[in-house]
Amino acid sequence: MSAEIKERVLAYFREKSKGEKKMFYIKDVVKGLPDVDRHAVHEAVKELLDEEALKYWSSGSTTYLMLAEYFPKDA
Amino acid sequence: MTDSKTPLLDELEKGPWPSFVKDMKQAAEKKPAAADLLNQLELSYKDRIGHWKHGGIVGVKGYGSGVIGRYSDRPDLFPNVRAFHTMRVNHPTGWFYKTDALRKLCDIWDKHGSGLTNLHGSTGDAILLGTTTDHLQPCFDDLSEAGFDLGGSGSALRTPSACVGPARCEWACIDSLDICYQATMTLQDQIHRPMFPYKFKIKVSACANDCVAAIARSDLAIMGTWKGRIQVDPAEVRAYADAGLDIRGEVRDLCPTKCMEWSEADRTLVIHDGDCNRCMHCLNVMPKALRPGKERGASILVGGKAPIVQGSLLSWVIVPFMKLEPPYTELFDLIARIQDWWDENGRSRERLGELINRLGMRHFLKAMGLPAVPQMVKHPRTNPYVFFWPEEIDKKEVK
Amino acid sequence: MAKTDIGPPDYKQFLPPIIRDNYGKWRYHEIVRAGVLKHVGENGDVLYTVRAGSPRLLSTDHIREICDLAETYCDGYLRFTSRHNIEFLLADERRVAPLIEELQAKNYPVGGTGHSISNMVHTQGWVHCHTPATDASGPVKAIMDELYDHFTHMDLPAHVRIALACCLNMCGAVHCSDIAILGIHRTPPRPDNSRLPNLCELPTTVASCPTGAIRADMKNKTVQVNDDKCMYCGNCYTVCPAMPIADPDNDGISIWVGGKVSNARSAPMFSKLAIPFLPNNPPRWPEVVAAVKNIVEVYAARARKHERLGEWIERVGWERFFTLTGIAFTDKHIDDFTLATETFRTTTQFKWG
Repeated sequence: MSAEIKERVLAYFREKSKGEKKMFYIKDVVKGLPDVDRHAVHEAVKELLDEEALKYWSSGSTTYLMLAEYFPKDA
Repeated sequence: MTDSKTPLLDELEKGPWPSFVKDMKQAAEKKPAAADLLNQLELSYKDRIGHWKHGGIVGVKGYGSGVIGRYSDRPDLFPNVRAFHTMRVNHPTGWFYKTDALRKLCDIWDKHGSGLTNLHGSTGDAILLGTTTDHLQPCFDDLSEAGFDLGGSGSALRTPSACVGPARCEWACIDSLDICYQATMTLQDQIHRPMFPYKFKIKVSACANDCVAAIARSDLAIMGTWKGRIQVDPAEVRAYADAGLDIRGEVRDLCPTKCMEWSEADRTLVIHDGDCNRCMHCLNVMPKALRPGKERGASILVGGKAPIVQGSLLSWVIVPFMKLEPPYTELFDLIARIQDWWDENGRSRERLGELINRLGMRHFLKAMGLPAVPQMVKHPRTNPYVFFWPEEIDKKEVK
Repeated sequence: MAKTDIGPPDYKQFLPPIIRDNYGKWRYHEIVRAGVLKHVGENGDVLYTVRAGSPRLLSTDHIREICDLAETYCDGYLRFTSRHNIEFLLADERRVAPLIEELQAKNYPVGGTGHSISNMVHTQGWVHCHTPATDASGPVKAIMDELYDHFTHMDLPAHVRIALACCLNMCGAVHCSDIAILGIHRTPPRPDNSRLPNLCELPTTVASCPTGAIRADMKNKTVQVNDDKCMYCGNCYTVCPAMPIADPDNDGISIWVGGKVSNARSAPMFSKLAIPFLPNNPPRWPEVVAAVKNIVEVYAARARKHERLGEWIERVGWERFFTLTGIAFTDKHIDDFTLATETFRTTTQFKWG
């Protein structure tokens, strides 16, 4: 179950990252998987963060999520 | 004598108040990053504009919070602050330290960073000001080894803070330090792994004097208070009068509820506690003579915030009185329900107060299972635009 | 791999023995002199606290000096306050005077208690922030130099809490201060059409504007700003780095007065606008320092004992406040954001100023 949600979260990111936008709010991800319980999406995202498939990006005040492969190199 | 490279900042070494420029220069003697920070700040003083670039991409393994990325927009001039990130270190509750812990923090920061700090930042964290990307993880590892952890940033639970409370205050109606520490420990995941729509702040003040500005600054404010009678020690009241305190002018006349009578003749103070709103003024003026009532707990308020985006809000009362004793189950259950409702309904970058304002307090109260009580409002509504719930309406069969 | 989620060190290990013994059992306190608190426990134990100001921006060597002092005089126990003061915690009264002597010799102001001006809460400013409209540490230093005697003496009608935030994000949440100093912009952001499509998400940028001044230009993948609707809050720049708003010639400082946090007597209040704009004039912001000093002096001369700045203004009336301080009242002082009409006067009960 959890593996399937994780795969769908990744699929969401891959699909949405096809454009120029690579960073997403957690709420965007939840909306992208409307049939999945919000908390389960959170857990899946956390696991993907632990596995470093996803990365956090923070402006300091606001936090976004992105695929690790698009994570910018240190400026 | 060589000309100073920082003539503008040098002006701020003058005058009696301790100078931050001296601290920057002290650090600059050891650390090239601190030297470049000083020089970049001088440029800002000349240009009247900041020289830090936007945003940051950095963190430590497993966390999405606690590090603020910062890059100079003039790395050509100031290469040692090209990357100059902040680490927020969760302060010990109440900002109590023993020097060995503070010295450890200093040693770690001399090893990994600029040697400059803020004690403390606005949210309460000990701020380690400025290091490079490759030092973040080793610095965190050393902090963790020394018993420290990072605080919150971004769309996370921010580091909770509390007033000095029962550690050093006779007015403490709740154990603000223990409540704050237990919340911090229980909610570690929310602090380090941002999953909220936006920031969430919890602050605990043990009485209505609100030394941590909980009502003004936190999404969830826990304010110590009491029920029942203010404890009066008549002998100490007389002692204050004997010592020259103008009890009529400084206490009775300034009471916002006019709930007390002072008899100059027999030097007795009578408090009509039913009229008292527990503002703390009389206790503040006569701490020896007046003490909070014996039945103690907290008022819970929600929604406070600074202006961005929809304007500043002061927190609103949602629970007039809650007993708070370990393990604070009722409080932590309520916090969890509030956060879950906000997480479900809030838009990205929408604070709790803004959400309640958008959807209506009645929806919030219903979702929380909290009864509407007059303590929640200054006065009832004055407009007739009243909603009723479907179940309150007598439904007619449509033929 | 370092341990995560360990949380802060348990504060209980940092409490001096006298506090552990009297935790939750303090009976009363007195302010012995400016900067010195005396707390007395139910059992007669006495704890002295010596409060000293700090620049908040501290070097590690400065912190070590503070540690030396704490070790010499209070067995290594100290704390900090929510307003960046240092508090030395002493169980031995005989050490109080020597500690103060050494603090003063080392240029630590002792005070900030009771009816004084405590240390200023403030933000990072040009030292370390990416959205500042002014510096923070510099104006604070210049103001505290001028108001120094009000920190070291309890010579005011009530507490005066001053705070500075270098932009409207208000990391310091200064909006409930007796005197709030707030960095402001006065010109709209300038969308950088070359960088914006790559750096920013359009719906987020549009939604960031409290007044609906930003419109998406889908064709060019950028945004347009309606300058007439923009009140320069800078929130769009916070979410979209390609909308720079800083403008050295027009950024500056506004001054707000009459806020309070405590519930004592009157309810907590927001600060209200006193001076819409003063220029950024580093290194010592003389216009800002003079304005703050003027407000403090007029208040100190006229308010009654225990009356906070906002309580005094409410008693005498805002119209009197502007007359007494000589501050010009302008159309900027009249609200035009949401709920503005709640602040309009709906009675003939007013004063001539």
